[in-house]
Amino acid sequence: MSADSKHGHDHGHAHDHGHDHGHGHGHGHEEPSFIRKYIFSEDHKVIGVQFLIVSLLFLAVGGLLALAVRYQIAWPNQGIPILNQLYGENVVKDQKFYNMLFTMHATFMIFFAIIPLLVGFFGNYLIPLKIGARDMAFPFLNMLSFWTALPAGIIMIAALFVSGGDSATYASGGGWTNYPTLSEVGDGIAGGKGQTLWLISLIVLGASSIMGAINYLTTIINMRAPGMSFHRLPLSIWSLFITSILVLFATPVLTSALGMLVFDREVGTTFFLNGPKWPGAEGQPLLWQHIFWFYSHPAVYIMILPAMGVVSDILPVFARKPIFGYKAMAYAMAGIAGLGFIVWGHHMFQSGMNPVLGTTFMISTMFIAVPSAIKTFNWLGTLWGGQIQFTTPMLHALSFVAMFAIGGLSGIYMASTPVDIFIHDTYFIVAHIHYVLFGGSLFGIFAGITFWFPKIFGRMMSERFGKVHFFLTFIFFNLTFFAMHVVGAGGMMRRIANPTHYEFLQPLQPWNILMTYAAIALGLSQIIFFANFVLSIFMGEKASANPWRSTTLEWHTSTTPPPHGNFDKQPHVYHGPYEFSSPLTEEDFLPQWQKLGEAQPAKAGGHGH
Amino acid sequence: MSPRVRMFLAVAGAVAFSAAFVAIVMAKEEFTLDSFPIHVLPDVVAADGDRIDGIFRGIFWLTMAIFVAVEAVLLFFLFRYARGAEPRKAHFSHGNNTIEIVWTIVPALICLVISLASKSVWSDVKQAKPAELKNPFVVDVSGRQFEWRIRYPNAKAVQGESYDAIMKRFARTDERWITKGVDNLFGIDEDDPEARDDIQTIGTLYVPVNRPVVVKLRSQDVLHSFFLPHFRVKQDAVPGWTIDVFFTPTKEGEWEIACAELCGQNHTNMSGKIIVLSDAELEKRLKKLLGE
Repeated sequence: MSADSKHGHDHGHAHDHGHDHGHGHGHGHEEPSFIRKYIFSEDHKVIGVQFLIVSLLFLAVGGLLALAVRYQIAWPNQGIPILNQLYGENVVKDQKFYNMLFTMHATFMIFFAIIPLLVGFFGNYLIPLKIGARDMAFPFLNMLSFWTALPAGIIMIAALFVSGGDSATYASGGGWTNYPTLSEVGDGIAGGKGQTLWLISLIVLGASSIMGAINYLTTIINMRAPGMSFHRLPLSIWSLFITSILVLFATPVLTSALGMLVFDREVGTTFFLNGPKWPGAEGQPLLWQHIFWFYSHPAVYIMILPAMGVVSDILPVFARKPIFGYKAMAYAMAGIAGLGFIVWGHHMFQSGMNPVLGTTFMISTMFIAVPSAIKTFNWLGTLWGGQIQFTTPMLHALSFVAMFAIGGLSGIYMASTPVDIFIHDTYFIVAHIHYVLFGGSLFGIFAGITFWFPKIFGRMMSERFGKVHFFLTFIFFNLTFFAMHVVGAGGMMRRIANPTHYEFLQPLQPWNILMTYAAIALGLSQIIFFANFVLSIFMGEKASANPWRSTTLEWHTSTTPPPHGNFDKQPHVYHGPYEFSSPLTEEDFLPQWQKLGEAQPAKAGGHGH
Repeated sequence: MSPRVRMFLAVAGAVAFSAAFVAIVMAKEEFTLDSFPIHVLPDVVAADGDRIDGIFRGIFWLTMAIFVAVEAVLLFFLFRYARGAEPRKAHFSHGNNTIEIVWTIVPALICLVISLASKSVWSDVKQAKPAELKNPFVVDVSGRQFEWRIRYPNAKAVQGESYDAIMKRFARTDERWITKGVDNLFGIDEDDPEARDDIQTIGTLYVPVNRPVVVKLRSQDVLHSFFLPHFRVKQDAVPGWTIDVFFTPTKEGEWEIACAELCGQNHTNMSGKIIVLSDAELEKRLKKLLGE
């Protein structure tokens, strides 16, 4: 206990010190109140950490919902522990409730965990630091972006407890894609008011994303430090730059679809309605799918590109080597983003869309494999001839490469139109998306959090617990999701509450049970991460300014953690972002801020002791 | 311990740990190794099913080869280039343009080949022209929460009639006349003389063996997806549209129909049967249905 309080004191002291420093350089204003400093803050770093913490909570909620989904699939219609008490056993046993579970699992994971972690957290925290700016271009807009995202999350959480008038109907139950006409049925089949709240929440969240994207683009274009040309930007910044373009162009399109669906549900328009159930309606159910996927396919890249960028930043640091093929890496991301706008129809091969269009979308989709392959090969090239250190962030980054390869390759199956006939809407696609979003994005997120933690909180995370968490997560992730390829190839449909209803699926049930056990173990393993995260904030070993001996500007801030304003004087950039093991220096890294021939100004470890 | 030994122990440990976990689950659930089937693709009982599976297998071996190569190179690099006790500088390289071009063009060519192979099967399966089919068998299928409604134009299963002629045997329908009960599943106009011999049922679809089947697929409420796993057939049913689905059964027997598009509360239970019969048996069965 005494050790705790001692560290707590040191921590507080470090903060004071940071601010003294900021004042010393005429940063301008009075010491802000607690509320201005930590709640309604305009500091990009505080906003980034706000996104981090809120998104991690949503990640936990999404994960718990996933466990409930797995429980139902393994032991159908027996009720689900804890939820039985929360909602009542009869409600939980109703298949409508199961529809709500997987819908909200995907919704929280995609919109409130993965995207805000990658874009909200990494984007806010890293962009100004890595380009050598004092803050974002529009700090107030930045604050607004967080304070728009949070209410969206609260609306979505509230929907979990809003009944649609029918005892088993809570939140949205139409799948995260919420295809009409199911998502329009007013009688509670796809949720009552919970469904409308789902739509409104995402409209609000979209506004937040657009604010963020404008800010990121403006900041990256206009506020780079002298010498920081586009071709000296770290790849994480390239990825966030490209992602912001995707967000800016795609999100308003989704908002239009959400708006039309709200009108259909609440005002009586018929944009998406047709068929005998709605006499006289001349709308098009497929219109929703086109608009939705015109956003949501780029959104898949919004959910992977920043992770690719983060991994491209981390591999060179721990291989002590420049990234292999820097320009190829940057342009491959641009290629993925560009192609990402012309492949949305591959979600609709079996939708009734003209099959000729199916062929067009197949070809554009196949070619996304090319930039993805380029990236994978370049990551391998980066490791070749390296001096590889197996730190926790590196392990996560390496497993990103290993798992993304699986997720990328399994995509080819669905891209092939005839193969897609069989595996469309089966667990094969569920396996694919989880290898990309968990095996890819989430490992990238773990890599990033463990890598930048020392800069964010001024303390190191425990390596031992970090490695245990990595080890367990890697194993249970694969045990949970790899078998989904198998049951998918067996034809098991996604979104069914009870696979044993079908004779042809009954032999696959042991796979489902095994996956559920592994999923529970995967969930439990995350406790280690959360504990390590929280305890390290207060008890971790003090971090030096550049603990990984890295080259980019975030390791050059005036203090650690950096003060409001980041740098005590304007940094200048003299090199590319990954000059490791350069023959020009004694050290095995040549930071971007270090002018050759000039002695490195003494920078003490710790923060200014 | 050298980093290489440690890496080896980590990999071996991960494999052992996974095996132990699976063994514990197996012991608890009383599974054997046979509980976990690996050859899971359902038997194929339709003409183009083998072609679809052929592409599936082609992609499988190709992606397997790439997967094994990538993971092997990755693991090899981790062993080979693990930082030793005396750190040195790494090899200083920013890449190589020739190799970038090679690993851009090779995947592009592979993708092109897969696309071309896929395209021909896809066009044959999805873009058939019903009027050109020989001895077609046409059936009207409509999805409705949570059942498959099926209509035959009459109780005949004779060969030799053209698609256009068969289509004239279906009675006129108007979806506004669909009743909630079982009497008028499709909204048939009772004044149409063709209405007398139309057969309407729920859940079980009878089709002839070795003849092209055309399903006129519709939906009466929300999206459904008409999924015949053993026939490698899947097509969404869209309210307001009629979509033609083609397949040619090659084996007599009984298989399952599933709904593969989330359609609401009882989506899971929206199953049906497809029964493939010889022409003579089929006609007997249809006459019996008409009598009922």
